[in-house]
Amino acid sequence: MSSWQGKTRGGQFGYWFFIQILKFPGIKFAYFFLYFVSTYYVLFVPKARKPIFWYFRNIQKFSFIKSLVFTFRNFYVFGQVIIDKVALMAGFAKNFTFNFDGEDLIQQMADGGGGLLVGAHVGNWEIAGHLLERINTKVHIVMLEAEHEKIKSMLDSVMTEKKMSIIAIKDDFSHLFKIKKAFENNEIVAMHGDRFLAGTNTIKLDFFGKKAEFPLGPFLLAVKYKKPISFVNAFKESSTHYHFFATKGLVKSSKSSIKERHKTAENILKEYVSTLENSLKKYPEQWFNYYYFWDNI
Amino acid sequence: MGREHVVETVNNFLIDEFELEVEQLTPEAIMKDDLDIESLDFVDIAVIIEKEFGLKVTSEQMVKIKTLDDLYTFILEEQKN
Repeated sequence: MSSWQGKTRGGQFGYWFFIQILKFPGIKFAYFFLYFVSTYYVLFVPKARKPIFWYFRNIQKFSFIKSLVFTFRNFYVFGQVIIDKVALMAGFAKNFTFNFDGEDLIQQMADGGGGLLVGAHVGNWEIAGHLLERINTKVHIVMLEAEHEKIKSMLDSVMTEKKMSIIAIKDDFSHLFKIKKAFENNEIVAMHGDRFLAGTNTIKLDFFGKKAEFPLGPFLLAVKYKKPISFVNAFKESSTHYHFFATKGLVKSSKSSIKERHKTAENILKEYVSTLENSLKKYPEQWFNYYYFWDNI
Repeated sequence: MGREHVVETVNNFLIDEFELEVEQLTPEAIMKDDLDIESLDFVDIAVIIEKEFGLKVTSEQMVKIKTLDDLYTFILEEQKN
């Protein structure tokens, strides 16, 4: 199995290009354009196609033909998700509708001293930022340096007046000091719980009946700082509608010994994996990790 | 402040905070591998260094500390400066 290599496809040009399409021909045209992009990816980008096809065939247990169809759909929906994200950031929010399961739970978390939101590279977690704006506290989004650099200038332009900030994960641990400060200020920290970089603390767990490696770090943070943790995601249910889900904030206390803390974090991680698995059973095409995620590959 | 005091203060903190055993706390112990100290625990160590020794530690400095001896030496060297 290979871990995520710290590189994200697409970049500033891709975002700029789609903003131009959104401004002039409109979002429907941008979606139409995706048929060509998705076909290109299925035919000519085996590095992305193979792991996704494998996921549908071996994890979702789809037939060969269904896996192929879903591989195309996966690229298509992923493209839509990126366009939607750009559209929202560029002020086209009125094009979308949302319903929220658990917004009150996040507001409770905000009112009760902050906490940790953990998402995954599924659905359109970033679009949840649209909701987080309504939460009455500052939200810090933790992301890998490589992901942050790609979209930094665009994020800076849209986040200047918002109650959100980006904390980039760096080799020098500076992000950990910022996270500690955010928790001390009773604010909310949001991050993904599915990807990790080589050398970080991980554990292997059953995920759809096969072993997969997950980072322990986000869950250790919640235990260490005794903050509630909620699993969040937003799934695309139609071309203009999203469904946001947030679980009730889990609070798991632990003794301060490192071993006990690990055990508690591992238990939270198991609940996260179970939640993620249930979500992917409902929205199988919205899995956006384009590398071999599972073991024995 | 001598090395003995630094060692005692740091070790007491590690025992209290992380419930480590005295026998584990040898100078050559590697923080991550032998003591299971996570990168996020380094934040606490930085705080205790500031509180007990009045030293500001940057994240760049913390990342260079691999063993307990590195930590003791770092504190002693910084106190001299």
